[in-house]
Amino acid sequence: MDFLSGLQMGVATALQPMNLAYCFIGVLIGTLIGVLPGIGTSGAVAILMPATFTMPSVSAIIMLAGIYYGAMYGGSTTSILVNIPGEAASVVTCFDGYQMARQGRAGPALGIAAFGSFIAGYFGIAMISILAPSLARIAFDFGPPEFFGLMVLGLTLSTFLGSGSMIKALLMVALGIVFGCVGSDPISGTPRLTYGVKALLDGLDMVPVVMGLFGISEVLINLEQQEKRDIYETKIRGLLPNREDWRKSIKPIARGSAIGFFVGIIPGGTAVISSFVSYAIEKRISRHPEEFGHGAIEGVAGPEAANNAATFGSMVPLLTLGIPSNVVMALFLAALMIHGTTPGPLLIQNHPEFFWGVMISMIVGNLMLLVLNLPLIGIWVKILKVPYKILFPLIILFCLIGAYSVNLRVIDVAVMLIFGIFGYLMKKYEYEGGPFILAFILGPLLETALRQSLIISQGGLGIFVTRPLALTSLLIALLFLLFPLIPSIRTKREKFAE
Amino acid sequence: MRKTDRIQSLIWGLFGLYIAFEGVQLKLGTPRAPKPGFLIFWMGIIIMILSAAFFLQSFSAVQEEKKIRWKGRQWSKGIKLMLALFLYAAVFHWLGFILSTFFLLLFLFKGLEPQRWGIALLLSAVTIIICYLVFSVFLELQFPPGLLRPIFA
Repeated sequence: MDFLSGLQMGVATALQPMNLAYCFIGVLIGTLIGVLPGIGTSGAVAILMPATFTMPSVSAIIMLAGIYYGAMYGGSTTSILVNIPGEAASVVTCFDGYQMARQGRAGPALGIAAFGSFIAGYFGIAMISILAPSLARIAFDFGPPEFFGLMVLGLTLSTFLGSGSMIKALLMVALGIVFGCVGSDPISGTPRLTYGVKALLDGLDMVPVVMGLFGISEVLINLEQQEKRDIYETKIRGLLPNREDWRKSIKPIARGSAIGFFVGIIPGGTAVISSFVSYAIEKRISRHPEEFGHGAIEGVAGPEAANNAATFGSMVPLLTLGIPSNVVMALFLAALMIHGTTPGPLLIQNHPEFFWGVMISMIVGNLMLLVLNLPLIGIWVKILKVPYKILFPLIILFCLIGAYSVNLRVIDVAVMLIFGIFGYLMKKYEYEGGPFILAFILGPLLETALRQSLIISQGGLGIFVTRPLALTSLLIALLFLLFPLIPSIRTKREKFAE
Repeated sequence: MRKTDRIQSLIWGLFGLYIAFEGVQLKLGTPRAPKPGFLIFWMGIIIMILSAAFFLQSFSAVQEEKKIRWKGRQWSKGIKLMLALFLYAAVFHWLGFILSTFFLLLFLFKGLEPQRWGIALLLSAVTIIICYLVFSVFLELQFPPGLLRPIFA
């Protein structure tokens, strides 16, 4: 199918009234999730995924995608007005956005964040539309060794790009792979690590695990701290940036879009990382780096563009290779599988209405977000004032409903609660959840790819050396494992993490 | 901090050993024909290696400021919350979605943070009604009726 035919099909799919409605609901919920600290995008997508089971697959992904990029928009509002990131990817926006608010420039900060995200979103959609079909064609030649190499690279990168100890991150990866093995062996059907519990024969479901690790644990952490939210009381005037603001911001937005998109493509690369990279680059190349941290609009424009572009970049490996690059994409993978749509090289060929429908819907969604975020700022500010003691019971309730409704089993609720305690202890002792979840989801795929590779090569590891892409991926992974041993790189990584 | 790291590394080491043992129990097979325990065994070995590295690192790491993990934190709220949630899971089918969730919400609104009874009751009632309408009626998710079965039958 050619580009124009695909676009035509996409327009016809995306502009169906039901899909427009789901897109709107998705971006609205996403913005709300982004505005409210306490529940992240992963938790929100996990909680709302069961609600999409009765929808057609394209509608489900339209809504979940809307939540994903909507949260990026919403996260900037709390960063700028409250100095608390509503979403992890908006941490960087706090540095300068809040300072701009204190200088009476909350309006331009919010405005440039929204416009920057909008431009980056369209850049990301254009890049997916160009790259994904080409990458899917290349991926037809991929076999188990290539997929194994890419997954190992993705898991290694997620440990290197994380903020904490790399040994702890690697332990989390290994643990995630072990938990991913719980259930029946994919080839022989032998029960593994089920301890006689029949409900575990199908393995641990991803949704309760994610909700526990990211939802319940977050509530436990927040409950034990006294949360103070100082909403900067200022009249938000003039949401449209002036000419000087645009002059300063346009290049950071362009750079942020490119950085965000390509970081997002890398398995393990996330919107958080892309926003930090963008901020570091803008500060490095700025003629006035001393202004950063004191209300430099470039410090808002670049990272906000980067985090939004990253959300679109992260969709490329999933749609073309079937490999999720982060937790949210792993949830998308689960949603697609539940709806009977297998992501990978054949997706665009076999389901063009799905791929192009989602692309066009994201164009519409970004426009909706610009309309939602700017005029409705006042409403979002009011919502921010809802005390946490009212919010957290609702978060818990949505987690419980979400966990139960996946399979209509109480054991999934119990799994979620156990992982909630686990996630709480992980946060206490500085272990990251991202590498664990990525490994948990990729583990079964990794094992299948490894075993198939060994069967093809009749037990020889040479297959990973003779296949160029597999070899390249594994060598890069090895380099990233060895980099922290170099003192100067270890110091830079630790400084970046701080 | 170093003592905590060493204890953690020892726990990881023991866990890795257990996982490797489980892998052996499940049969490793051969590289030509790997069996169910193959990956699990090697993950156990990797965990043991990493735990050894973690242990050694604790000797060479620069002493950081002691992290305040438990002191001054209201972690008893978390314990109460988890007990309530496990109890909720235990009675969910018997009481049913509406009743068990209502009582849970009442506890969450009133039992962990200071809140007036009137507000807690109102919020619990409104929340459960909205949830029932959205999830059960509109999204047609099946929840157990429990003790209210005669009403919903």
